[in-house]
Amino acid sequence: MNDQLRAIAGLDRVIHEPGRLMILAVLAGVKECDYLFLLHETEMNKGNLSSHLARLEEAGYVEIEKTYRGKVPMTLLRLTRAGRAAFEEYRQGLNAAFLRELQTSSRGNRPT
Amino acid sequence: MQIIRTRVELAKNDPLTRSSLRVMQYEAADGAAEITRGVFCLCCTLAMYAVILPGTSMTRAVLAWAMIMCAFLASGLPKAIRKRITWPRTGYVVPRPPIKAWWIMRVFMVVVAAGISFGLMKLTKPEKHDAIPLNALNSVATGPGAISPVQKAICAGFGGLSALTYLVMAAPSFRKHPWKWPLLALMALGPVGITLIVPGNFLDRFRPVALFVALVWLGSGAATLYSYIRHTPPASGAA
Repeated sequence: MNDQLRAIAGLDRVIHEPGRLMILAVLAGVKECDYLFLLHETEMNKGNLSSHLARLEEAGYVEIEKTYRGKVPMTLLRLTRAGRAAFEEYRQGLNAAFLRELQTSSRGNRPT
Repeated sequence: MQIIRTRVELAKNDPLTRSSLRVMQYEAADGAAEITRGVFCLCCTLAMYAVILPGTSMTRAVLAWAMIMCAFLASGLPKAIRKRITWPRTGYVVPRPPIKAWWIMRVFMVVVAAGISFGLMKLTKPEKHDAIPLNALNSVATGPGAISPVQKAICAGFGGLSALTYLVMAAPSFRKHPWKWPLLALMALGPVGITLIVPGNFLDRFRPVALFVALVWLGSGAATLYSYIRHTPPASGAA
């Protein structure tokens, strides 16, 4: 296996799924938000969003808090420390894989 | 060279950066911050107008203080607007502070604001220690048309400063609301025109300038809020 494939294969599979990646990308930019905001930002349906959130909570990346705003129920979501670190690692890993691929291809295309 | 370009491209398209920018857009989407700034400016301006109202000095002082208190109470306005309008429509969000030591930035901003206020106070205060030409000096300092070039520059520059703040605060919504560009120009140039047209001393000119800036803030905020309400219906039962 070459370096690029190894780098891509080494990425966190929990985060690598597009839906979950989108959720983490939104949550990485906020301190906390509610379910409605995430639903609005990711444009997923409620079922998909809930199942992805459950998976992320199970992995310890997202903290889900059920609360009330007045009499209205509200689900608060925030990234845990582990989730932020995992997302950052994933992001750097992906960027590094792209850069490595580019370096290899530019070396290969160099006229001899 | 291509690698550097790709690095820049990757950084630009970084989901982390883009999602943070989206939250900033969300913050500016409802116009609550602009309305608050407008109300704050308006209250401060009304306090300046209160001191020249006819009546006893006690009444004027009470009115001015009431306006100043209202200006400080305006800081609770964005939360009130968002609680009733924004959160039920597009959800509740608390943006991440851009830097970890956010409080250091706040302290720095307060120190800068205090410095500017002190400087303005020093520049606009009439000379009192000069005993000999006191009467003549007072008449020059408070008489019609008495304004030094520095005071004139402060008066006109207030618009530029407000326009800069407007640009920083409302920039994420400029693409969605292109009508904010003329408002930005109006905010920058209006005070220059007012300073040149309105006669009188520094405060006589500064009052309409501040009123103008406050009304532009309020108008922009109200229009943004109206547009937000029109385009986003309340969400149904998503908890």
